[in-house]
Amino acid sequence: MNKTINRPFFQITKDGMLAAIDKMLQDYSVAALTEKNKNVVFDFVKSSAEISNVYKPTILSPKKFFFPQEEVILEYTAEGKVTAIIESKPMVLFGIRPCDINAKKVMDEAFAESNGDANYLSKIENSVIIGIDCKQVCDEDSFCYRVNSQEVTTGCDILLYDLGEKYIFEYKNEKGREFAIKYFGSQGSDHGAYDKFLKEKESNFGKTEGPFKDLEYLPGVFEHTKDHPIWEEEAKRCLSCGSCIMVCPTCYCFDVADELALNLKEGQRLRRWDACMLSDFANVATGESFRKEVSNRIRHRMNRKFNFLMRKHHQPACVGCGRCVRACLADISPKEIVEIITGEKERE
Amino acid sequence: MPKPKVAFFDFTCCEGCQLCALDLTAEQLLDLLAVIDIVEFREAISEKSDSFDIAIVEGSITRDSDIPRLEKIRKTANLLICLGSCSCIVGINALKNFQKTEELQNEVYPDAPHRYETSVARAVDEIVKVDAIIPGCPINTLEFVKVVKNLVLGKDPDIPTYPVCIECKKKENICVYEKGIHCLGPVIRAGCGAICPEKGGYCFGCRGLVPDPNLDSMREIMNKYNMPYDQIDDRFKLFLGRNKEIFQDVQ
Repeated sequence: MNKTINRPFFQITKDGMLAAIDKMLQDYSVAALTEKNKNVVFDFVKSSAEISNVYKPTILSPKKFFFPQEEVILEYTAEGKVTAIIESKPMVLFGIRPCDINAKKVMDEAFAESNGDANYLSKIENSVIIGIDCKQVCDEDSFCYRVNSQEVTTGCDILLYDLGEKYIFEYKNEKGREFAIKYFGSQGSDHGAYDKFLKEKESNFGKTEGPFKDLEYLPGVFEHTKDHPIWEEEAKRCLSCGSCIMVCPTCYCFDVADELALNLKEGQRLRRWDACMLSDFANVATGESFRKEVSNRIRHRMNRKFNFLMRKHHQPACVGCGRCVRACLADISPKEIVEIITGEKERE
Repeated sequence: MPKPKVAFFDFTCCEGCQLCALDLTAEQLLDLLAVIDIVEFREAISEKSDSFDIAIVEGSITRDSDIPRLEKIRKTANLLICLGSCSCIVGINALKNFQKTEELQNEVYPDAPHRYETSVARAVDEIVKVDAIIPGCPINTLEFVKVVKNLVLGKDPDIPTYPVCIECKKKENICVYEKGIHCLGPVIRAGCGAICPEKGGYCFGCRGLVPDPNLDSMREIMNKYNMPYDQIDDRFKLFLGRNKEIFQDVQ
């Protein structure tokens, strides 16, 4: 692997980065990993001092900044005046990890489709994404290594490598280059440090199980699992609570509703996160449901991740972040489902 | 369009949900009164009326003598809305159904048990047709406004059918099970904003079950998190004692 060729690796001290973040805060809203109610979340910070140093997987992914839980997409009046609402502000998203960077790629492609989604795309255009690479698997629930999402190619503007006392960084595009010149300054480059990081990362991930068996053929494998017993087995435990979808960094289904104000003179059209695991997601106006059974809903969701969307995005739409595994009280895991489907493992 | 006339009535309850219905800002209250006329509401006005379009009924039906009054309300109203757990699902009033009626009468009025008329505590929809529910103990005031507004507009009341977990996850609350606390959130209808788990408690189930709950799995999970099955029953009993899916053998 000659990854270092033609790739500049600049360095910046940790203190230098904190100062750079405080400088960014004069021009941008900055969202980063921070503590909130004894928990670690991605949220807006007022100063670099609020940023958590130790990475811990968050409950929600950073997709919430580009695809909010609830968003006004237009306003209307009783007289018939309709105004499209597209809101975005200059924002830096600091410190997102490879799983979430790969998830963002799926989201970017989905929302750019056809004419593109103005609300999502304006937020992306107005943002600078600074990723931090992972040197090892973050916890026992994450399984990025099974879908190769510990590797970052694109999806962020700048990527940092944590070397303890300093970061090595590379920019991924022109936007990242200009940003780095303006805020990070030039503190020389260090290819040796990057090589050392990469070696340690390869060694750490080399100890994992590696990618799923037949990873690139999963869409075809899933195509033939309509009657697999696993769907009924998982449905027995599944609470259909939708938690897996709320926390998923690549789920982008939404509901659209008109909310007239109580004065009945004006209203808003809102879009909100929806979830295909919920019982009325596939209800239609005449009262039928396309996926009344929980087993159908689980099968559909897994096919979205490893079949339907994988064909479209040429990568699994599951990035193995492990958020749904952590959130599921019934211990349902996409990792385990894929392993059983491919015959790699048997149900314990 | 003439404003619909709205009347509030209460049966067995604390009347707290009616107070919650008034817990609005001045602007919200004025906006609400621009849309409806309140013609009877004993916690807010002295007037009474036999003519109304929408009846908002709080409380459980615990005496047979309540039934004709409820039936008369139903007959007069075009729409009947249940307000609060007591009227929607019976809630804590159903605890008495687990005891014999004579025992209760003797316990409450030991000197004159016959003076205490009581029967099985029932939800309003066990007696008459109900058009919409606003569940909760107490109700969520903003949900009350939304349901009334939607009904006035001729729309579906539109209360959540998804569970409390959705609201906890959206708020990035740490799951209370991780803190060793047992919560009914996965099978209970959202709409409260997950206020109890968020504030350090757990979901008691006051808003009733979601439409299609997986109760077997819920019980197994609570047991897996070290709660004995009899205690799990007690958890369900507090607000869901009238639920026939959970408690089949109760009167």
